[in-house]
Amino acid sequence: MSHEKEEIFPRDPNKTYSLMTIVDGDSFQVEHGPDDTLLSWPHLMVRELLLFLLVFVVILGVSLLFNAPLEEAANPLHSTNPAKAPWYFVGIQELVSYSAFLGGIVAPVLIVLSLLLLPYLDRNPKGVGVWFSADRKLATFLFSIFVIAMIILILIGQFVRGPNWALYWPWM
Amino acid sequence: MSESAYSLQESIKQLPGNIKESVFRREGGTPEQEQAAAIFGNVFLHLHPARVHINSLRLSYTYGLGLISFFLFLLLTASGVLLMFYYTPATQLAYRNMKDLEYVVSFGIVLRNVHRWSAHAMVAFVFLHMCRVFYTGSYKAPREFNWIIGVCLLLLTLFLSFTGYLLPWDQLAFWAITVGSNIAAYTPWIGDSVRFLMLGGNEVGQMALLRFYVLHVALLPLVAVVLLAVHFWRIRKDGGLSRPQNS
Amino acid sequence: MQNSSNATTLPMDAADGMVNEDRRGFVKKLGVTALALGVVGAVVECGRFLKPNVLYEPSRVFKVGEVNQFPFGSRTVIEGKAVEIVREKDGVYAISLVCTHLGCLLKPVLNDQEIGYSCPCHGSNFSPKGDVLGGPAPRALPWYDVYMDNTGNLVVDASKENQKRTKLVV
Repeated sequence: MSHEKEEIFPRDPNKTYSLMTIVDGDSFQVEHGPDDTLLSWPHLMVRELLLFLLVFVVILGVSLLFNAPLEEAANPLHSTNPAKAPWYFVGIQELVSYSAFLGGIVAPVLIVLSLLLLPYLDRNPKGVGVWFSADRKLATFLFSIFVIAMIILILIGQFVRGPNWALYWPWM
Repeated sequence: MSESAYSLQESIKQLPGNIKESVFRREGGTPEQEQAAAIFGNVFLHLHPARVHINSLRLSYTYGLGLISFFLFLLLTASGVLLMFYYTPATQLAYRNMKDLEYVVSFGIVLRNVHRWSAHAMVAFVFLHMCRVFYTGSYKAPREFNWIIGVCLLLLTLFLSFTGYLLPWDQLAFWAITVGSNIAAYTPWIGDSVRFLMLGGNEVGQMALLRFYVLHVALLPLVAVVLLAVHFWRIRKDGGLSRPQNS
Repeated sequence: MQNSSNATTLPMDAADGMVNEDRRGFVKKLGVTALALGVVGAVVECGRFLKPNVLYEPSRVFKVGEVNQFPFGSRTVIEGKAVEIVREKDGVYAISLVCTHLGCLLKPVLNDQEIGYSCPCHGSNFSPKGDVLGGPAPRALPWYDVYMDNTGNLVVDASKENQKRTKLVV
């Protein structure tokens, strides 16, 4: 039995041990070795509440400063020029302006499918819990290409496409 | 027991204590037990574990991206419910309601702004959260299923935002939805049916507005809440946030 | 009958505690089948329910006016119908003004030999006959059926495409 106890609380050979006191076993930590956990209340919850406060204040501040866009009433007889999708779909729309089927259906379906299958395709257990782990350079590289491509497409669609979906430079 | 134990006078004396006990449903314990019970004794908070690893609290690990997304969802729900009191999903009224919110309703413009900016921010933060999970390898076993739920939540966020885009019924909304629904029509074989079902007709009109409204205020949020609950619960079941193996 | 006593014998007891697997399996299959049928039926019903039978949209068959309102060589946009009536020496035809790419409203280009229509959204160009000249549009603009009713008015039926691109001789 003493062997098991040692496994719970491994003995450090560089330290000396002595019995300090005997306490009632009313803590969840009894019969557990030291671990790096903290009680969710208050340590986690207080941080969460502070973060909520921050989000709330920032959104409220932005809302007081900037008004949400509202154009004239919908008119089916006049297309806006250019007609743009919401910004998060503008990257897809940029692809659609090259080929509606490839850009509008094939690309999004491929993106979603590969995202869904990702954890079942990448079974290498290394590199969990570390940002940009050196053990998974390839995965990091491929995903970065995807992210950067999305961002560039969105930037092009949102800022560089003008009337008639022609390229124009916003500063000119 | 004598009847006096149940006398009205006694009941009134014990009223605050009894109410408190019935709400929190726990008797006193050690401070540590009390603190743990504050989490697992609460139907909402018990999605959290009672204890968390210190790695989960490092801001430089998560940057709180998932939490920020969830908080934006809460703000969107609150402001959205309030906006519903002044909104009618009818083509003749919707745009007028927007103008009323802007010029007539007290704090209407602020609530609309909160809703709009939170929606944009939520799309961005959900995406950033996904990037964080990818770059830290947090989708790996045993967290594969939670990644899948996360991808579904990303899609739901996009759909929620897209359906909400039509509701102001302005030029931006009308043509964005026209373009969006025509992209869906490129689906092979079923494309035209998809578009017809989505719009409830051949063109963006009253039926489309009503459909997008119902999806936006009822169906999609409901699905999102359920998936969010599973998403959070799975974090606990999968052993908390991911962390390096040796720590 | 063996069970002449008053006590009802349950099937489980009859086989000395053994379960009748055949019967249990059959009931299980029956239950699962019924459930599957019910779910499929409910899904089909929901899908059908969501497909409207009556559309409160403007009719796709509409009058555009008498022939003499469209002089030879004229191109007339019918407001609100996304259709242009073109009258030429050899006949009349109706051409759709909805871009085949993503459904934006086309702008007729006047005084241009080559380009007849251009799309403001994504820059597709069409010839005066509706053929794609450039841009992402995948198909030519459809021509719609045109006929003359008994009051002498031209009628466009936008639900029927004029595949052969025949002109109505008037």
